[in-house]
Amino acid sequence: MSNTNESAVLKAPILTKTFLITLIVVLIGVALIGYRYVSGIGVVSNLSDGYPWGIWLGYDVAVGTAFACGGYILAITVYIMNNFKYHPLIRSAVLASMFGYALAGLSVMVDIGRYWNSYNFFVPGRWQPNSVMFEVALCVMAYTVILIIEFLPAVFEGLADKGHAWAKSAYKSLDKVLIFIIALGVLLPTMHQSSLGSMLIISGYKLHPLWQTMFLPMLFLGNAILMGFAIVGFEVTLATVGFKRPFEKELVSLSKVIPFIAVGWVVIRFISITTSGAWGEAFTPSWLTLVFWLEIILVLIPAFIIQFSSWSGSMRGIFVSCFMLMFGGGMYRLSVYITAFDPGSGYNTYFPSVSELFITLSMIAIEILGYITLVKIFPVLANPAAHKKH
Amino acid sequence: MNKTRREILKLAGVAGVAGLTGGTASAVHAQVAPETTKATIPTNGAVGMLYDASLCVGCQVCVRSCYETNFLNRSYYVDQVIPPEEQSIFLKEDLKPIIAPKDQQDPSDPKIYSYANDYRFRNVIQKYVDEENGFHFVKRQCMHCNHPGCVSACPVKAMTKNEADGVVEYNQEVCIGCRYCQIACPFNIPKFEWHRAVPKIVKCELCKDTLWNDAASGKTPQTACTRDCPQKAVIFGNRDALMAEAKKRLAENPEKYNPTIYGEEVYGGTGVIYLLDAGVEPENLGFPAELGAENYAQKSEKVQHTIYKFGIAPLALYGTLAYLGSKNAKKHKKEGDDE
Repeated sequence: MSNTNESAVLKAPILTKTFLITLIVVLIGVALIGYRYVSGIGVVSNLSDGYPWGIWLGYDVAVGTAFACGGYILAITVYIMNNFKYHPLIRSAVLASMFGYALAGLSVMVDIGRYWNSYNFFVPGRWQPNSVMFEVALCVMAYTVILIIEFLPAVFEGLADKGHAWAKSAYKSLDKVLIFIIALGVLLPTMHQSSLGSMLIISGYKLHPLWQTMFLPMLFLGNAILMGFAIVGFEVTLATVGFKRPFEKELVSLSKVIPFIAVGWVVIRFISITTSGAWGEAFTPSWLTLVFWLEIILVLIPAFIIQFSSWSGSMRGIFVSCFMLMFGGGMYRLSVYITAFDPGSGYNTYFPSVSELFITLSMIAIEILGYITLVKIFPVLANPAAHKKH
Repeated sequence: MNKTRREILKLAGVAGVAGLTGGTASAVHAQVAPETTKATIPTNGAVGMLYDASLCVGCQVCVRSCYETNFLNRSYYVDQVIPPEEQSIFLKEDLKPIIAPKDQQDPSDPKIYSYANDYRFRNVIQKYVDEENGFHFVKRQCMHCNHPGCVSACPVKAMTKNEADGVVEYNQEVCIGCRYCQIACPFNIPKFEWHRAVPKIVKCELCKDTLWNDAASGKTPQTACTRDCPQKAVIFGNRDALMAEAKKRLAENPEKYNPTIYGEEVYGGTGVIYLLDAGVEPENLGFPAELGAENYAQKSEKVQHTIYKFGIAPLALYGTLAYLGSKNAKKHKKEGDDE
């Protein structure tokens, strides 16, 4: 148990103003979700037969699970690439990922029309291996379970510190097999994050040529990795400021890998445009052209800051770079699922309704609520005392 | 179940000719009905429909017979969706629809079939006005694709293509309502019941559940729309036979038709095929202009199966990750003990 003192419970009151505000948002969202179950999806959303997928999938699932890639990225960095100095960052990342994935799952249950039939995913006779969604659904469900297991050490450690002897032995037994769970926790996101991109290949012409490509799985995987690094930087700097904690300097060196992945991603994106012969579209004046270039620029500028600017050593520099990456990366995913999706004439262009937006907002609120509460109950955040030893 | 279907198809072979040419409505309106067709339904193979745009007068009898046959509630499906001035056609007592020949109809008729995209219909007639060529009708329903996107997309086999007869069937008992079929359908056919707490997908299943059982009593399998079309503008049968019939009509009157049979090659071929008027392109009638012969479902499956062939890649990746991970963890633990 060499990690015992690496993380610590944040000693702060649970009932704060932030807690209450987010709680109110959650309750409004719950009421709207209740209304959706009684009256149908059409009543609360602007979805239509032309635009059957909206922000519940486009944001909560496609963007939300990318924002939840912190746990994935740190598992690769720490355990696979053998950089144990980043280990103190891992628990908060896993916690955020756990909420991100669980709430993506919850959003799906709000979004699907015949949710009572979803048990069919567990009936082998119903499996449909040609379906990209089948693979995504199974992988996402499995990964959510893996994330919960990955978070258990924090729970056991917290309970052990409070004098529960069983928790200490449970921690030790889990520690022995944990690495095989973590390996799964790297495999599953690699699979479903790429498949989240493959999902739209079947939509064919409905997805704008600047986004429709056989490279979708590769671009989504690259985007997930990029956003995973960005979210770790974002979360840690936010926790530093929000909880008034010392700056975790590990972040600076961790962020140094971002420029390479960013440039690699842009290169693949350009290759994909070349192979689909869509460069003409990239210079046609339209909103989508602007979106396309913004997606590229918002990935390249942070890469530039981190690689060449002295700003990258500061917390502010990391925060701004990571925020831009998250914005650009999220925009790319929203484009594929919503903005660049066009079923043809005969349908009103989709823009989410107020209720729809509020339900998504309440999902984000649940995430914040869960995070700020659990870090005050279990040892999740890096222990500032242990920190000075490095 | 499949056996019964095959038997139905055998019966169809026997009674095919009668089925294609019979029907009560056409007798009433014989003055505008075309020459009888000679296509027969062979004993096996995929079925489909042939729509001949030159014969359709936009009377919408097919729309009415479709919802009546498929037990769709009239007050729900008609009163709520169709504007009052367009409702008369759907009233049961009004059995004689107006079927003025197309050249006697008023092209400026503002009737635009406003319900055409509504999710409560499986089968619609749409009207397209085009300044150069006048106006055109087109019948839209599930195309029963050779390689359907909806079937490839559905994660739980709620959409299936019947191997014996080619019908793309929907099973609401397993459907989870994810609407991936709608994303995947290049023709935007599956409709979702947005305003119901217990919704389902609505789409044409060629009247298989509702009309095909008639075959057991010696009648030909039919669809409501083909049975009742007074013009025989749409006919039902074996896809190969219908294709031969379409080619025959094309050869007999090449000046009358668009030389491409829509559905022969588009999206890898579809069960329902269309003969369009000369000078009218599919995109003029609301079919997607960007859609070529390429089948997106096969493309998507190719990508997916290349990555996941026999699960080799995921297993190899897991092995590597677990090996590296446990090696690093051991090393780290040892370093920790040394400190």
